[in-house]
Amino acid sequence: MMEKPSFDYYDHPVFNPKRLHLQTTAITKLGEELHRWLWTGATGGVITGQARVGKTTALRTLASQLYTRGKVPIPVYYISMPSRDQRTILSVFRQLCWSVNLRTDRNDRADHLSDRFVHYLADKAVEARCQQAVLFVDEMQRLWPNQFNAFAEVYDKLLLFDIALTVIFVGNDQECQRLIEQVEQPEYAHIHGRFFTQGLSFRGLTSKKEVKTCLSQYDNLRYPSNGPTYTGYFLPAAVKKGWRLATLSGDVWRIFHEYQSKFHIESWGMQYFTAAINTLLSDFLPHDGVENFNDDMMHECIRISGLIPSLVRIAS
Amino acid sequence: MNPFHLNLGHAFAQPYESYYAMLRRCLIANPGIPLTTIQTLLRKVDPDHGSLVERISVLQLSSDLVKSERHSPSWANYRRQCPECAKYLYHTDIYALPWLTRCPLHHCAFTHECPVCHQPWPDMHELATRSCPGCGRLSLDQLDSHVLPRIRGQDYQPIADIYDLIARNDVHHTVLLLAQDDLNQEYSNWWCSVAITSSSFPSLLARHPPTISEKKLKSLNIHTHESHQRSARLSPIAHVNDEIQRQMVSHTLGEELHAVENNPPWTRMKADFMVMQAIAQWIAQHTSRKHHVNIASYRYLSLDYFLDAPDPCPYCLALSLWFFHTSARLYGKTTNRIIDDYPFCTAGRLHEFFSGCVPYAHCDGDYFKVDSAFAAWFYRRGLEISFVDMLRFAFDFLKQVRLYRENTSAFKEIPPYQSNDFPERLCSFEVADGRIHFYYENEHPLDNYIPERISSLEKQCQRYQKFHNAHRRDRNKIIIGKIPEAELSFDIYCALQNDYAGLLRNIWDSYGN
Repeated sequence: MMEKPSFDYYDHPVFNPKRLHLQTTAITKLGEELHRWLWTGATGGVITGQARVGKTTALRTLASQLYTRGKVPIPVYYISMPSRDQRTILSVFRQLCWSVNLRTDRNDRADHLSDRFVHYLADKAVEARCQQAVLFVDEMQRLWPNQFNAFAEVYDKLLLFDIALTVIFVGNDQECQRLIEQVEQPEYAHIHGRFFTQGLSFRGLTSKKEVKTCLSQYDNLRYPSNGPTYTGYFLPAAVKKGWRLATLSGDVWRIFHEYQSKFHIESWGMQYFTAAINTLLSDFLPHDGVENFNDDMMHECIRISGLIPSLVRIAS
Repeated sequence: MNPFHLNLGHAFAQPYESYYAMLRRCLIANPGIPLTTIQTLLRKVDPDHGSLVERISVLQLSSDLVKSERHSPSWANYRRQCPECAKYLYHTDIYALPWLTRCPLHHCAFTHECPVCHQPWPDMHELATRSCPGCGRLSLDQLDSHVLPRIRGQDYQPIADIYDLIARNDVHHTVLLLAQDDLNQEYSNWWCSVAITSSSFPSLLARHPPTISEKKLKSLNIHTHESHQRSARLSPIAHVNDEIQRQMVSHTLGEELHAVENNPPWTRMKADFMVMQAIAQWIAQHTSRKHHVNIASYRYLSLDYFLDAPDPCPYCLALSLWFFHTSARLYGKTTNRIIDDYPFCTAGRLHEFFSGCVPYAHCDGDYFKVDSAFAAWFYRRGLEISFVDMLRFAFDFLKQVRLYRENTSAFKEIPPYQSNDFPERLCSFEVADGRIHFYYENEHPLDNYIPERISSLEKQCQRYQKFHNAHRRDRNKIIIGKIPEAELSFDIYCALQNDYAGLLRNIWDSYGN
């Protein structure tokens, strides 16, 4: 029987984008902002941004990096709202319980599910020895205004346990706008005042400097942990000679900027950026050589990343 | 069913809580989930443990589990609770202890029912379905905002103090008291280490050094009785194993008979006589002047015999049993076994008699004897307790026989006679600095027993004696010793012993030696 190699070549994070975590300037700034919210007692906030800009990845990265002023890690919970026919508060409680593997049964009542979830958070607070908690609610644009009451109820019940919950809603710019306008109506003042007083627009890469920061991480992160850098994994000879991916940042940014200007793109979404760079690093540069890098190569990588859907040609 | 996450209600965890309290907070933290579903889940998650609460217990944070051994965790412990504690989801096993008169935290009386819904405190299954805020599975809407702050601010030191008191008892169980002539422990002993659940527990334990003050006990709402202490110097014994082996050797009745005839145990007989004299005086105090104690053989008598006979005199019955048993012990184990043949006692559920004995202490693998003063006192106390036990049985048996005559099925429904139901047997002891310290209640077991008054006892006694003489079952030589009240002399006692020796000789002859 063939022995499995100690690691699989295609197990590299470059081939598994879900495992590729680049610390961008935007993520760093988001982390700072979240800490400001938490340390000033904010009960909620909204993070919006374009589709595929990297909001969810940023949240998952920051989930383990939130601390109280006393440096105690804050328990963080993440829920992504699915798209469903049901627009009830019960469905929100059901989703909350399901997200943390609490029992949900079709006969469960809303108050049972609500209490069950609250007790879960209370238990975790004791285990973590932290009286704060953060709940990220992703895909907020799928919620209906009345469903925010579910989160308000959870917040209120946690006060019995002396636990301060901060609920942070995350959604896409265009799709959230309608919802945010609805919540600004007087009948939702209790929701708006609680969860919508803080806001942040999350963006992708917006400058050459930020591109360089990301490309430098390819030159420094290693896989496996005691192995070569990401760049060295695919271009060992070039790296050995002193070549670095970050040297391409100027060209990379320049070429993207052409698309940005032409198509009025606010920022380079991380999904598209990593797709383009991963293709460049794992395919084009090893095949053609770093000395043969040119604009056409980069254009092709951007095309393949799907940044501009109209440029994607469907093979007939 | 895929395993789901089970909330445990950590926020409500409190020190020294019982399994009952642990289960209650788990149920509260998982609203709407049936108990059976929780049980099924835990059986899957933790198949190694056998019970629901054990499985819940192993899931607790170490900080939740304070920090002393629970005494006798039992589901019966939930029946008596402090209503104030129950409001704050608290219960601890010690609330079931009879010597704890009030809640040590709130100083209110324990109850057997919830003051909110007026139902008895729920058991495990009722707990899962009851929604009463005072005793059941309350929801967060029912939870007062001050509950958790109160839980966090509660001082549990009084509970800790009581568990400390209980824990002291465990230390002392490393010492054993054994009967000098029964090192193989073939027979029941009259002394009984006080159990935690006995109302005498704090009285006897509190006197162990360092002693606990009355003020402290009162502040914890612990009820105590008067208790006493005796101490004895211990001396190590050599060649105990030889002694144990020797006691395992069985002698014939003839051998035991000859041994006593050749070397009468005068010291022991004198001790037995003094106790018998005291018993006779005590009986005289509780009966009329016309009543005279008769010593007779009740061997071989069955329950049927007593159903046909007039009511026996419990005093004569008890003292006869006592005399026959105590005298048999002078000879040896074989004699003891032959003499103690009382089918009616077995029917009345009394299977063994207590005996006076000299104690040995068994401590850390070594054996010690006690000084002679303590030994004599201990021996005498054993004889007194032996008689009190037989007398209690006699009165109980008389009552059973009367009931049985009226209704033959009633006998089976009567609870068995409990030898350990009187406090004189209870004790605690410890060894320190080369001495044994023995703690007990009631200096004179006889004086503490108040027998029922029986009208016209002397007539009842005479009627029975007449019947007994006409229908005796013991085909051996009859001993009838009429003891004048308060005038039992050593001569009369020796005469009784001579008759007793004659009875043994007849038995020996009957067995064809």
